[in-house]
Amino acid sequence: MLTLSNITVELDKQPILSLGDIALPYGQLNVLAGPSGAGKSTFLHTVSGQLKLTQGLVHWQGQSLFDLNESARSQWRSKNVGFIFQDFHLIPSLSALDNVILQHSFSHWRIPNELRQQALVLLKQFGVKDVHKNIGQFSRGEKQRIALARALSGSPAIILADEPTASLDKENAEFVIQQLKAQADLGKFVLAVSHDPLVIGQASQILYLERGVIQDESMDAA
Amino acid sequence: MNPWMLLKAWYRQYTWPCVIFIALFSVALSLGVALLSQERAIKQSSANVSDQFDLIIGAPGSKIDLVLDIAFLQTGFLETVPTHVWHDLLDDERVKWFAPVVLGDGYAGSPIIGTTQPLLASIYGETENFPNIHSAFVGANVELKAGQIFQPQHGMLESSDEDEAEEHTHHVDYQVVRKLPITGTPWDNAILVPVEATWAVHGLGDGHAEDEHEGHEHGVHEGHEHEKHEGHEHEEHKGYGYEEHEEHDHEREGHNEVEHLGTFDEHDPLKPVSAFIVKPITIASAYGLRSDFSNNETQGVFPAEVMVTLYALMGDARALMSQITLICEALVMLSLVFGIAALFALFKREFAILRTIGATRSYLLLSVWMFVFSLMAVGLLVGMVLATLEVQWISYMLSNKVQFNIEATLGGKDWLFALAVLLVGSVLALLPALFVYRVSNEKLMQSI
Ligand SMILES: Nc1ncnc2c1ncn2[C@@H]1O[C@H](COP(=O)(O)OP(=O)(O)OP(=O)(O)O)[C@@H](O)[C@H]1O
Ligand SMILES: [Mg+2]
Repeated sequence: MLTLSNITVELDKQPILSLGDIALPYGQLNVLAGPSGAGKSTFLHTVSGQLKLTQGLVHWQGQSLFDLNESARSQWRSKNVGFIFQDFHLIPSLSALDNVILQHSFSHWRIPNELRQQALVLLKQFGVKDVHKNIGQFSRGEKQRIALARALSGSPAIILADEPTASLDKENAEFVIQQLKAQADLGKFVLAVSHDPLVIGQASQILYLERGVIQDESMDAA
Repeated sequence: MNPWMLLKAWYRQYTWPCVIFIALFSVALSLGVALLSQERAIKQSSANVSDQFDLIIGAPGSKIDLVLDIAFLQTGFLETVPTHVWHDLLDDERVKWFAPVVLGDGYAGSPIIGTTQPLLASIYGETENFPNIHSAFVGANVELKAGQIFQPQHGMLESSDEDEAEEHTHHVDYQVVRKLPITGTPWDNAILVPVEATWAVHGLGDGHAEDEHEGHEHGVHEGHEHEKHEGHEHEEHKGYGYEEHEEHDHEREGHNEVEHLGTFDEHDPLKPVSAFIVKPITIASAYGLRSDFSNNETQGVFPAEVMVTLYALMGDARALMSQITLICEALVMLSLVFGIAALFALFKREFAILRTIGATRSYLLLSVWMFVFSLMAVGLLVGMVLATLEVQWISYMLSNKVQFNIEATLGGKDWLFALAVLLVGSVLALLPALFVYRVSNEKLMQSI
């Protein structure tokens, strides 16, 4: 369970988020929707421990995230959180495989073989053929599948996605949604920021954010 | 933590900027290192040259000119030394040996030096004397072969009587006896002839007392010379020319002249010379001689001491040079550092992504530092290779120019200098690394 209690986040001394008590469960597709500039991305960066809270608490499975110092939060993120972005945000000049395993070089001198094997399995499973090809040579759909593999590499318990389907065609979008749901079904925490009706249609729970405030937090879609 | 994977990505992504930086850095470094090592080499090599001469006695004037003209055979103009100095040196028991140097003539760019046997022995280890007055020993780099006959080109040695000198400036032929061993000094470019010959060429006679001349073999056979100066023969019976003796040549053939050439006594009408090279018996006698011969007629000079003065001048240039080198180096490094800082907007998104997927600040610090430092390290290695090549090239060019061997090699000092540059670089590389380290997540997150 992700629980937020009475959170305020200010950026440039402007209040961006102002949240009451929120609880989101593992094992289902949670969706965060809302107009542009509402603070959706800020929400993700907050629950992943990147932006400091002005006030309030974030608990993951009962552990208070901001009890960890910044470096420890980075390490926690590296182990426990997989990120997916609208624009993929892969590292140029690295191969598909290296993009997937790069994150493990943050904590390992030599990347353990099982992580490398897992990366290869994920890429194969997602239909990425030439894993040693430079990232620039892949199509958008392939890039998002590589990004998906990166997010799942190391089997993190939390998947955060920021508009993961916004720059994809329907087919690729559906594939991504399927994978997110599959992860939820494995019991992971999955939260996707999206206005994509395809995503919203599959959501178990939808939070609607406007000007940093949750409008209706108990909108059960399914 | 292993930034290598990320570094590989950056090298690939920024290949050209990296190559350009390495090129600039290495060229700037190599020029600095090459110049400094060259400067050391010039110092060492010129010291090798000047060390062959303990004491030079010349006419008063610039000490540096005297050393450059005599030890380095730079063709400048030297006043002549009064003839009595020769007699003085003959009598002086503090003198182990001495030899005159008469400059002024040349052949095909090589100076013709009138001297005596001790100088041949001292500089070239040549044990034999000139066999006759027309013989020439040539330095290793002179383009003359043994047996070859050549005429000196007119030089600048002045006679006290212009007309007389003019009339007696002969087209004398010298014959090369043999090539001298290589010395690695400007003396490899010298043509050495008996001092008597240089006087005679300028119509000053041969410097030997006339009454003895009858008994001397000068080996002058040139018919055209004889004819040309026939008209003067009877006016010139003061032992100036060779002509006088030519009629005796055939009778005298076979007489041993070796003992005579270069050997004078107080009765000989010696002629002026450009300078004397003196080998004192002891250090004390060297100082004694120098002070005794430093008066209004002559000056005694220790070349080694003059070189120290020159090196002091060079030292100033060197200090300036190394400063300029360091400044160039710093500019190149700063351009990289500021380039990275200025292009931060470009890199910002990548750092934001890396932070989001779990990179710690220290990982980014290490990555950026290693990236910049590795470029500098590669630049350093390339620079040192370049420097080695440049040093050889500059040595080659300089050796040709100054006519003595300059052998420069990169030594420990150069590597120390390079390492010092790298050390400064490693600190400078911390600037962009710290910049990235300190940037706030709030700022970074705006870009993704
Ligand atoms: N690092 C930051 N510093 C200052 N203000 C920020 C920062 N990040 C976001 N903001 C501001 O906070 C508000 C919310 O931004 P955010 O990116 O979270 O919105 P969003 O809901 O993700 O919008 P979009 O749908 O366009 O992505 C915006 O007004 C934005 O200008
Ligand atoms: Mg957003």
